[in-house]
Amino acid sequence: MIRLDPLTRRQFARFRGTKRGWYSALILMVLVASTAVTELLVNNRALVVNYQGEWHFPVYADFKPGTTFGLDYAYETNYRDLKAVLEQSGDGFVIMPPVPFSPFEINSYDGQFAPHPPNAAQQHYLGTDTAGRDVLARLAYGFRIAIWFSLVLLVATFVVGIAIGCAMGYYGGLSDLIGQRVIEVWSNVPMLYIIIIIASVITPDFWILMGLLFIFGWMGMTWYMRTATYREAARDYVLAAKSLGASDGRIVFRHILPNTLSLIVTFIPFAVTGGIGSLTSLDYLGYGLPPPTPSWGELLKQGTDNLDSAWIVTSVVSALVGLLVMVTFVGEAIRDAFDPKQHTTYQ
Amino acid sequence: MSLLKITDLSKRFPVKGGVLKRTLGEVHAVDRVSLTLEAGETLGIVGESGCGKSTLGKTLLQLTEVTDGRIEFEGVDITHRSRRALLPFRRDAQMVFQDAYEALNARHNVARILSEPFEIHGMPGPHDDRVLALLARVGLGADAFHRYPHEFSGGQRQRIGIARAIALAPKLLVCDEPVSALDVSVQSQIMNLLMDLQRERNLGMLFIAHDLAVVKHLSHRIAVMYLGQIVEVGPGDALFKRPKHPYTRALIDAIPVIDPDQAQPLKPLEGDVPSPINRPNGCAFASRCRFATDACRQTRPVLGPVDDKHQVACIRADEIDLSAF
Repeated sequence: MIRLDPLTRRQFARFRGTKRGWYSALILMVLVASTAVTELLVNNRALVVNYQGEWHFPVYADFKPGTTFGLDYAYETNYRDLKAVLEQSGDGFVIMPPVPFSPFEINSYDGQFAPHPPNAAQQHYLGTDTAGRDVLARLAYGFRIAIWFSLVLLVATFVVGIAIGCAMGYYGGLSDLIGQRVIEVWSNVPMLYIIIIIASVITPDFWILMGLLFIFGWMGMTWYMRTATYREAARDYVLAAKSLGASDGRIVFRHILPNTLSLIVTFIPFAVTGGIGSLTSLDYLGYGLPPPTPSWGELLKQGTDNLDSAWIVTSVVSALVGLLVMVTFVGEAIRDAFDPKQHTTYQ
Repeated sequence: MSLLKITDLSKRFPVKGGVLKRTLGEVHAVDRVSLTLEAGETLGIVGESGCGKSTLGKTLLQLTEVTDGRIEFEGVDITHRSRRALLPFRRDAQMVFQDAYEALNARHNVARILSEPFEIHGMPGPHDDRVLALLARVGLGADAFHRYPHEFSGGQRQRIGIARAIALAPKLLVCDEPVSALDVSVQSQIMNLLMDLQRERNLGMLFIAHDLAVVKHLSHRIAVMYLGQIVEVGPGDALFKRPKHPYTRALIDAIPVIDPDQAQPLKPLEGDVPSPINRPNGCAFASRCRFATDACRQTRPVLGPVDDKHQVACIRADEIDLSAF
């Protein structure tokens, strides 16, 4: 069992007290958790097929040719059609996910040109993009990529930023002075140009893009950690630990870091919005993840290029604004909960 | 062999400034201090704010680096040692801090705070029994075990601080104004606890305070510090009855007298303490001393014997008559 110290418990209670932050956090947690099962919610493969008394679970199975279900083709079964066929023949039934489209699937309808407007009968709840791919499907898979990109980037930049900042603050002296200058110089490297140059030479994938954003993004946290460590290291409880003979590692990990927790937690939501924002803008500019990766930035680009198909830009902007506002609400609530002025008194 | 012997200990802090962070000068926080402490003895150190008495305590415990001088503990030189080499000394010498709340990690409960000394010194756990014994010794109940520092009163927190300090059965305890942040009623409880512990364990104690009355109550010997130097040291009685340094005399006069019939008009010291960066060449106290002569302003006094236990750093100590102040 994790025993939270009362300070953390009190801060958590105060966080819950800020309603919009707490509800945003709950919604975000559900959304992030749902990315584990996006395939079950948005997919062109059926969840369950019962054909002539046999059960099939195509979402987590291999490719099944149409002939499996008595259809006259050997390429992958179109489960939406199969559903209609089985309903007529009575040989079985098909349960489709709520959004029965894949983000890569190009849908065409007789007598219409893409983009198709939202149409509940076709189950394109948010319409399709200019290539005929379902907007909701692309939003869902784009969200999965963006949020995990942002979370992994967050962990990487925080681990390195905190470690370096903490070391600079704790050891001080020349290493601190040199470290600061190096970081200042490094911070002034124009990240966007570097990424554009690299993206024009190679096609960046998820990890390369993350690596680039990480290499140019870990510095932010060092400043705050450096100052916080300086402040904590000068306090008497650290001196007391030192007089007991505690090692540097013990002092940093048992004493200083737990006491800078509020600072670290406060920055997390803002780092998440930053990560999502970076990925989306790079995709928008065309230097992000390669097509046809589902991406909000690419969708945004399509939307602004096709303003007469207003459903594209409306969907993606609402999703983006909604997500960023929720994360910001969480950030605000955390900041208020951890505000030291509200629950400490000077003796 | 003394428990603790300090020879010419100095601690200077560089003053940096300018773009290139050059060293512009030095603050002489502790300036060539020598003293000894025997087992079972309490040495009180008094002086006004900023005179370097806390820095002296922290420096002799090697919590900040020694600039100059030598510290011997039980005859062994412990100056400039690595953390590992200092571990045995850490076991034997502990500190009680002024602000107990600052000195306790607010995120650790009492059990964790008091187990830490045993963990650091590699004793096999669990430490619960040891912690409970410590709590009992400092007069706290077993219910304190799972509680956090903010749940205690100031006096109770100081008891926790003392419990941590005596956890490893030290031989030397440096008490850095342990009662000055407490209510008067609680002060005497904590002082009694410290005195009991000292008698019980034959502790050598360095008791730092700015309040001469407190120090007088529990010290065998008293050292008076002024601007980083010891100006007078001697047995408590001798120092109070026959002070030899004008500064000591001024400190004694500043103790409030409760009986209004005996109260005398206060004769506060005039002038300011000189800057510890640009120390005067002569006696540091000369700028505020009514007996100062030109010789005082030019020659730096050194501690010299008054009798075999009493020493003073004043070149006019024999001439001036402080009883007729």
